[in-house]
Amino acid sequence: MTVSTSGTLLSLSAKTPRKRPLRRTIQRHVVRLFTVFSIICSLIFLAVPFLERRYELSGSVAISIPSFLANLPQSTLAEFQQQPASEGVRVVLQDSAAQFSAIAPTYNAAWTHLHHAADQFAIMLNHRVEEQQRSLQSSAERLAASEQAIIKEIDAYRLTHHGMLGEGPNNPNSVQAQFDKIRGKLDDQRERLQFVTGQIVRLRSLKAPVVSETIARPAEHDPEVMTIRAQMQLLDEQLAEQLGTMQRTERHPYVVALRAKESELKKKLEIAQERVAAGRPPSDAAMGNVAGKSNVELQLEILLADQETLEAQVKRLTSQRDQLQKQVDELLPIRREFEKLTDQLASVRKERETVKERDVVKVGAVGVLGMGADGTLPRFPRLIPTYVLGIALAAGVTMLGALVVHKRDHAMHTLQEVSAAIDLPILGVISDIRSPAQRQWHRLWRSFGRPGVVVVGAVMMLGSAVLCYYQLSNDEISLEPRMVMRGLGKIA
Amino acid sequence: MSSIAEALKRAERERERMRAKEVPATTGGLAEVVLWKNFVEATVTPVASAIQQTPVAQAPAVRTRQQATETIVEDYTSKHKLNLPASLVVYHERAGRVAEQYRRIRERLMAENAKREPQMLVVTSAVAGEGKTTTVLNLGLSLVEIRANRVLLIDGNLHASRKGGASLSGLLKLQTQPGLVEMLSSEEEQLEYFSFIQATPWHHLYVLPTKVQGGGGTAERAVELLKSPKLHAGLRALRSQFDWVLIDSPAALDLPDAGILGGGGGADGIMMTVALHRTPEERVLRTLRLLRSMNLPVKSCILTRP
Repeated sequence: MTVSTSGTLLSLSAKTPRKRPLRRTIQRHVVRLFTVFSIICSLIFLAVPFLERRYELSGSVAISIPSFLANLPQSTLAEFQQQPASEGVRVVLQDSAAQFSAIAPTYNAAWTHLHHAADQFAIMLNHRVEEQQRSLQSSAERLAASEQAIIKEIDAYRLTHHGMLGEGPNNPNSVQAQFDKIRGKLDDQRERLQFVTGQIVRLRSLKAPVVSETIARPAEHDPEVMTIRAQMQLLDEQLAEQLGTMQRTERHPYVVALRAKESELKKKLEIAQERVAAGRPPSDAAMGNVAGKSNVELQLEILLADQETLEAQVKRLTSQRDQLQKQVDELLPIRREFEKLTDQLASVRKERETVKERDVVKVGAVGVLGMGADGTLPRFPRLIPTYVLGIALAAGVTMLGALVVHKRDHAMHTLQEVSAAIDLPILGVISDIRSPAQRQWHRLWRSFGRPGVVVVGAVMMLGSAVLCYYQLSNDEISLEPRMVMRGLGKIA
Repeated sequence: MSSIAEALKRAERERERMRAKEVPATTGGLAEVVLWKNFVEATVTPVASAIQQTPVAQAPAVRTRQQATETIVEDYTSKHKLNLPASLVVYHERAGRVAEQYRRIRERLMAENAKREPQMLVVTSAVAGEGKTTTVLNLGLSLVEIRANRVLLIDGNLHASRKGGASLSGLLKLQTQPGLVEMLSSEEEQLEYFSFIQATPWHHLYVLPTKVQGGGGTAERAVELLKSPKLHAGLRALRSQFDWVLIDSPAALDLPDAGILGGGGGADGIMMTVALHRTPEERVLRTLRLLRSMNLPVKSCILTRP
């Protein structure tokens, strides 16, 4: 803002500060800025190879066995970095060439010692692994033969005892099942025989005193009812035998006859129960005294017949049981042997799998030992970071310079800027006044000098970059402690 | 009255006669050569005798060519011996681009002064080294290319010797003669102002130098000298005898000389030179405010590239 006085006239005027883009300044000084940029770049590229270089030597032992790591020699060098057991031992050294030369004996001794230990241990481990592999291989072969023999034996057993082996004890057709069934049936028949025998004894005791049955008795103690019930029970047993054991159907004539007899006995039982309820004594006909005998005697005869039948059945079942018992006794060792063979087969198979797995583990435990780096390329300074940092630094400095120039530049550069700044008529613009010689030099400068400066700057920059490349990449420096693994190869 | 005054008066009479006849002075080109070494003889005897000579009848083509070239009377051989600086582009490269630029400025100045009244302009700038002296010299040379113009260049930079800057006297390599300092410090009542004027190798181009005699002490009492009442009277008297009076003054922001010369001297206008790529905008604006605050008529501006 401006305040000016002219006599008694006070005038106020305000102007916004002129803003000129940085791009204009860069365009106006582009050659100078490029020159600065190229000079800085070149200086950086030329100076970096003279920095103290640091080299890296690395070696690694790729054995991931904890016992190996535990047996390694304890080094006192701090630079020896032991990595986790899964990665083996890795040694990384970073130093300058002079420092490497100074401590070369120490490094060499330590590294050689480590190599020697690694060599010895790896060779020993190799031998052991090979031995174990051989023993495991023979075991595997032996087990395989055993497995084949057992399989053959099992097959023979199965052929010999067809229907007994391999079908399980719960199979109803197996020997054991048949034996159990017959034994159960035998027990039932024995119980029935015991019952019949008891009935016979009871009937014989009833047969001695013949007493007239005048006194009313309950239906359960009525001899006619008891007889009918005994007959019905016998009939039921016969039906059960026919339908169950004999596996006959209801249509079988014998079963039909038994059913008819059962219905007849049921009718007789009802009549007898009505008679007992009326308090009448049983008639002789009702007692079954068909042949003129008493009811008890008839019943006794029936029971005796049943007893004989039962005794015959028991005898037959006993013989069957004894026969099956013999078979079961013979089967037990066979089954035990079979189970033993089966278990042995399973164990052999499992052992074979284990042998295979162990074989894989042992072979994979020792890998290829890594080769050591020979350290011809310096770790610092590196080529690509040098280029990137040099260009970035030069560009930054150049841009900073351009910014400073821009900030310090308050002059007016064009007719338009002057016209906008001052409200005066501009009579004209006078160009640079130069003598002919100066003009010639200026023409030469514009035609050749300025392009030449740009070309020289670019060539200087590229030349310094190439020089930097050759000095850093073709470093023929020889480092004493070359950590190259010796004496070890691939352990198969 | 000095010989220069007499020569000027004779030149005025000649000009009036030429205006009346509408015929240019068709004297021989090289016959009107004004030599530096014998300026008095050249301006009095040869010129006067040449003026008094009866014009020789010439062919129209020859006369037209002479009209185009004789506006500036020069002896290339003698001027070359002077070894004048290359900044006098209107002299060294008459067909050059810069000379044409000065001629365009001249045309604009003359167009603004349609009545052809005497003009006294103070040339100043915001800071030193913007090409004021070069502009004054080349503008004066371009003005005298018009044969009717009589131009006086006044070296108003009393500090040039102290600051080591170029002065009109130095650029033209004038001989040591009393100049503006002597004129202002003179105690004579009836001062002959024209006696301080020096002729140049160019016809109708004269110079009032600062002081080329002895030197020393002028810079310290520059303001005191410029405040002298003889300044206004002297400049008025000189203005009446010339068509254009161009005063080369120091930078306005550094020294008050430009303001004193413009105000006390009764200048018709102030012309600023602004150096592109160099002069800060803020300084130019401050100079303008300063000059306007002194009620000086800042009329125009010339952009230079020093």
